[in-house]
Amino acid sequence: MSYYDQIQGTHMDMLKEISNIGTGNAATALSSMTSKKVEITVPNVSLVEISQIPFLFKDPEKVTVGIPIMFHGDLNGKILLLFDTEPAREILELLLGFGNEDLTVMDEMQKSVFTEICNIVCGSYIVALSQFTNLFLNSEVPQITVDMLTAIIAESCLEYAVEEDRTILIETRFHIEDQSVIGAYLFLILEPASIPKLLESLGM
Amino acid sequence: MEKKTIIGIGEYKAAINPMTLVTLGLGSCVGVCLRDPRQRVGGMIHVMLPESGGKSVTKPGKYADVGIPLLIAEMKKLGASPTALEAKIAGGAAMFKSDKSTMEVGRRNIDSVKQILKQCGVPILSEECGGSRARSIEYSVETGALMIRKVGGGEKTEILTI
Repeated sequence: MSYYDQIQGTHMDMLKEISNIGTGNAATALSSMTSKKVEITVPNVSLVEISQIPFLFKDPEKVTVGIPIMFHGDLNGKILLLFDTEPAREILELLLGFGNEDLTVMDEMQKSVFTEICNIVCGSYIVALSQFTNLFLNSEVPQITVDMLTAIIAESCLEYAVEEDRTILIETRFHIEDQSVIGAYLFLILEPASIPKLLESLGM
Repeated sequence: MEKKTIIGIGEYKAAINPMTLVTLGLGSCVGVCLRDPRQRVGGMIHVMLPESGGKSVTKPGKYADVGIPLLIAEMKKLGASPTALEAKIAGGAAMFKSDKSTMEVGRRNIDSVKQILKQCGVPILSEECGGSRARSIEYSVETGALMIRKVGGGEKTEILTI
């Protein structure tokens, strides 16, 4: 029997609430780094078939900057921070003073801008998650890739696919001031066994 | 109008000509394309993991060891001869450089796919494996041409056909 069979609407609402708190902190962090107003959307929590991931997005092959950070401890999982190419360039320009024409060939300095943003933004998410649940969480060093959107997300879910055919994706979109498009996304992906632990910590 | 079928992650499909089989965003996953050139029967599987560990599984297409023989059986039903099959494979990249575990999955997927194909007696005509870039692939059942798209320099899509 899969853990996901026990998931009900109230559980999904609770996951949404947790994500709201986490991304609220993350948006504040992103805003103070870029000195721009950052708005967040209401998190979207969905139980998806891993096989259907390529069909979830309008443009599955869109070039995207993907920065996942793993965390371990009482819960295991990862947060995946994604930037479209235009906001990614703008962030480089804001923080380094110069942009990059071709994000597929970033130097170490440019890569570290993104991994550092991930540390701060996702770090504040993880702290909020830990404080709210009273669970111990320890984050690792972020990784970075610039590639097709669907491949980045599928790859991030892959290690939890050994036992399960489904995964819970908790998605929040950031709207950065002056950007006409929503430019950044954040996904919380939990190891299947961590989901009942998380819900238990919330008294469910 | 060209007929196309998109195959999800960990799924497989056999088809009769005319048909183009497509799968998107192969990272460490491997796309295995099979074809009986005389009968014009083709098949594709999007392998996620090298082996199922002998357990009963709900999605056999995820695993190289159980998925590939199942795909061959499906193709046989459509008239393909198992001894006439040829293969082309793509994928098995390591998208995150510092990540030892997924780097290993890509490599292990490629090794497992090759081993299973060998056991099934299917020769590999060509391959586009490894590296760090994800791939999307389109396989023509009619010609056996395998078109591969990946992100190249200048954020442009690089297209090659094997």
